[in-house]
Amino acid sequence: MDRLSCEDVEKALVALTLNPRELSESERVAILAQMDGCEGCRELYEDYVRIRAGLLRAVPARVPPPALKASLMAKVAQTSAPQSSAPVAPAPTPAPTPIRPQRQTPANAPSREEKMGVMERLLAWLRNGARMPGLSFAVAAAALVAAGVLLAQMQRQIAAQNAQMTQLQTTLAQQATQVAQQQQQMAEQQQMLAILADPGAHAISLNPQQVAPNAQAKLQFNPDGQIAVLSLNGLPELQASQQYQLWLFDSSGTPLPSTTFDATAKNVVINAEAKFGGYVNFAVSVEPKGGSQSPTGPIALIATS
Amino acid sequence: MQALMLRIQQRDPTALSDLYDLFSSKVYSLTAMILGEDMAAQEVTQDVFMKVWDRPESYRDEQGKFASWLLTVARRSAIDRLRRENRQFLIAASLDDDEFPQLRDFAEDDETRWRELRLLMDELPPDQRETLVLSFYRGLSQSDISAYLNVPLGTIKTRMKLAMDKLRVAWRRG
Repeated sequence: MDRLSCEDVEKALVALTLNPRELSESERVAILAQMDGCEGCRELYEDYVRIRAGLLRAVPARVPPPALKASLMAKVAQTSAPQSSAPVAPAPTPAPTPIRPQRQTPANAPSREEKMGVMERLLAWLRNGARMPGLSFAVAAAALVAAGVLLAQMQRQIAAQNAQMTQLQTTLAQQATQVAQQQQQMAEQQQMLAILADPGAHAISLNPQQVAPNAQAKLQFNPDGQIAVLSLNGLPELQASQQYQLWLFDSSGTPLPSTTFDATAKNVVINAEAKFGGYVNFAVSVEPKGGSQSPTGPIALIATS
Repeated sequence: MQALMLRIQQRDPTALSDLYDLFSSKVYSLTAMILGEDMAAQEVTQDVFMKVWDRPESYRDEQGKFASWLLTVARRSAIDRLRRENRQFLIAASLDDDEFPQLRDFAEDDETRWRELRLLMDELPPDQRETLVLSFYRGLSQSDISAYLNVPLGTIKTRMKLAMDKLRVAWRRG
C-alpha cells in the first residue's frame, strides 16, 4: 500500500481510535507507518486516544448493588483452586454459581438469591464453601471474620434495642405511677367535694396550742362515714425530720394514729377505720417524720369537744 | 497496581476484593451505560472481574493504565452481550480492539476531567453525538451506522470527525 497523506490519515484516525478493527490490517499498518513520520498526525492520534480513554469514564456514575460483590466473591470461592506454592496457579474453569444473579422467567422476577439478605447470602456462601474441598483456608477465614463482624454488629444492635426497651419500660412504669397518683388525687378531691357539699356533715374546729399559736384547723365529716377533710392554715414550719400527725380518740379516750402531713398542707383527706361519729376527740401533734404509733411530741391543735 | 495484580495471580481472593472496591463503580457505570439495563450490567460487571481473576496475566504494563484496560474489557464484554441478545441492531464482524497494539493510554486521573468530557458530549449537535454513541458505546461500524440511520457513509464519517475534533479542541482548552 502506498504511503498515505496526512489528510488520508486524519480521516481514518477516528475509526482507528474508536473501532480499530473496522479498518483492514493493511490500512492499519499504513496509518501507523505514516504516523511514525508525521508529528502532527501522531499528536492528533494521541489526542483521540486520550478522548477515547475519557469516553470510557465519561458516563453517568452508578454504584453496583452490594449483593453483586457478595455474588462475585462467592463465585471466586467456588472456583478457587487449593492453595499452592506455585506463584501462578492455572485459572480454573468457572463453575456455575448458584447465587449469581440470573435473569429468570418471567424476565423481571427476582431470583431466590436476590430476595436473600446480605447475611443470608454470606451464610449460603459459607455453607457452599464448607462443602467444597477446593475452598481455600484464606477464603474460609476471611468469610468467618466477616461473619464474626456481622454477628458482633447484630449483637450490638440487639443490646442497644434491649437498652431502649428497658428505658421504655422504665418510662412506662413511671408514667403508670404518675397516673395512679393523679387518680388517687382525683379520688381524694371527689371525696373532699362530697364531704364539703354534704349538708349532714359536721365541722369541728381544732384549737391552736403553744407550738402553733396562729394555726387554724377544721375537721369536717359525716358521722356515719369513715372519711373526713382536715382544712389547715397557719401551721408553723417544722424541722425536716418532723411532720404533723392527726390523732383520733376512740370512745375510751385512746389516741389512734392517723394521717401525717407537712406545714404546707391545706386540705387533707382522712380515712378512718371506723365511723367518725364514734370518735370522741381529735388532735394534731408534732411527730418524727413518718408518724408515730402514739403521741410523742407536743400538741399543736386539739378539738374542744 | 502491580502488587495487586501479583496477589491475584497468586490466587488471593482479598486482592480481587480490593480491586473490585477500586474499580467496580467505573465498570458498572460503563456497562450500565452501554446495556441500559441494571441486571445485565451486573452480570457483565461480574464477568469482567471474573475474567481478571481467571486470567490476570491478560493485563500487561505496556497496555497502559490498568483502569483503561479494565474498562476496555468491560466495554467489549458489554458490546458482546448486546450482540448476543441482538440488541445492537446489526453487525457482522467483531470490532474488538484488544488486538490493536498501538492503543497506548494517555488517560488522566482527574475525575473532574471525565465529567467535563461528559458535559462536552452533551453539548455536541445531536446528530454528531448520536454517531459517536453508536460507534463507541454500541460498537457499530461506520457502515452499520450509515445503514441504521439511513444516512450516507460519508456523512457519518464527517459527523464523527467533527465530533471528535470538537471534543479535542474543547477538552484540550479545558
